[in-house]
Parts: sequence; structure tokens; C-alpha cells
Amino acid sequence: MDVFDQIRDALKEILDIEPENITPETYIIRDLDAESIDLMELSVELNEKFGIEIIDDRIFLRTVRLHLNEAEKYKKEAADVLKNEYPFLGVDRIQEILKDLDGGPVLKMKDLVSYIECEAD
Amino acid sequence: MDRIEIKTELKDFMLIDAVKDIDSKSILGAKTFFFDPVFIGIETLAQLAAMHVRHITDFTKHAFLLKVKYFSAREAVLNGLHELSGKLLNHSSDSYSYELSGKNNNDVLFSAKLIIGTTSYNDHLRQEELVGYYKKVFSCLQNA
Repeated sequence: MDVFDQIRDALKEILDIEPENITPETYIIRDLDAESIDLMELSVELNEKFGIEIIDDRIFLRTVRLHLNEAEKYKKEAADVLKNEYPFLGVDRIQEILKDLDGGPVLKMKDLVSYIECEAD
Repeated sequence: MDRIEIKTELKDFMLIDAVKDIDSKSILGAKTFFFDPVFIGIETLAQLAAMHVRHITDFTKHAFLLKVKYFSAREAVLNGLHELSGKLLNHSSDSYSYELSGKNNNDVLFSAKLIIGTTSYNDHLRQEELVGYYKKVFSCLQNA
């Protein structure tokens, strides 16, 4: 079973949802209505499944707006700051996030997969 | 403003009598029950696990019961001296998963898998009050 399938199974159990409609583009909070306590449970499940260090703020992109505010304050490039804070995200994904901020929490299924694969390497 | 008093009949709602041993992965404690309902066993194990989390995070975070993954008990009422044990299974930066049990005469009478969450102190969970309180409680339990 690959990383995506294992994360999807964990979400299925925690959120009590049918997993068929979960794709890499699914928003974890916007689409699946996951709450902060659900993500806390997910993080410990991911540690159990993959045996890697899980830093909640990082994997769940919790502090994106904080970093963007700092970038603005210190006149740094937003994309550079996010790349530094979230090295598991690709350049294209960071640009996507920067265009998507008005819609709400940006965390997608594919971000969780990227974090796991990056930490496992 | 109306004031609501909740009478648990439990002094400070601290259910652990003693912490016998503790390291980075496990904690051993003790509790004497007096014909208590079994749900008190869940809270006792949650307090044991939360105490372990506070210890290994050097009391830098507030710990709380996030989820009961499972709980089983052989009796509906708990009575007598029980040895409590907790083993840290997995954790992330903010959450900790434990396997815990309560034994009487080496007989496991209740067991659970619990997830303990942590959060930063804030205006409601005041660091200056809670850190001192939990450090004092922990010290008393180790010396009990």
C-alpha cells in the first residue's frame, strides 16, 4: 500500500468518511471538514504508520500566514520564505498556495504525501 | 453571573496516588480505588499519561485527553490497590499515543489506548499557574 492510500485510510477512520472521493487535490479542512483535534490524531497515526518525525505545524501548513506576515514585514520574497519553511513543497505548489490563500486553509492531501515522502528519504 | 459548582467528591480531582517510576518511554503509578465506577479508571489512566507527557516535555505544554481509542474493563466497579502502567507508543510534536493498564495482584483489570494532545499555554491555560501546580503535584506523587 502506498503513502497516499495509507493516509487516506487513516483519514477514513478518524473522520468516519468514505474514502472514494479523496484525491491528491482534496482539501483536508475545506473539503473534509477536518478539525484541529482530528489533525492531532492524524499526526500520531502517521508517526505510527511511517515511523518518521511529524512536526504538526509543518505537515499541516498551520503557520503559512504567520510566515507570510514576516516576509512582508522584513521585505522578503513570500515564495522564498515558504520554500525555506516547507522544503517538502515544490515551487509550483508554493505558487499555487500563494494564489489560493483567500479560499481558506490551503492544506491538500498531496501536501501530506509530500511531507511523508520527503521525511522518509 | 451565576456560579455553577460541580461536586466530584474528589480532592482536586487528582486520581493518581503515586508515581513509582518514570522514564522517557513509560510511567508506573499506583491508585487505591474505593468501589469507584469503572469510568474513573479511564480518567485515572488519562491523568497518568498526561503526567508522563508533561514530564517528557519538561512541563512546557498543557496536556489533555484527546481521544479514547479503546477501553476495556473486567468489572463495573474498581476496588483496592492497583498498579498503573503506561507505555508511550508513538508521538508527533503535539500528540502522544499510550497503551495503559491497571493491575490488581498482577491481574490486568482494565486497559486502554489513549491519545494525549498538547497545546501551548495561553490566557485561559495560564503558564504561571499551571506549570508550578503540575510540578508540585508531580513531585508529591514521586515522593508518595
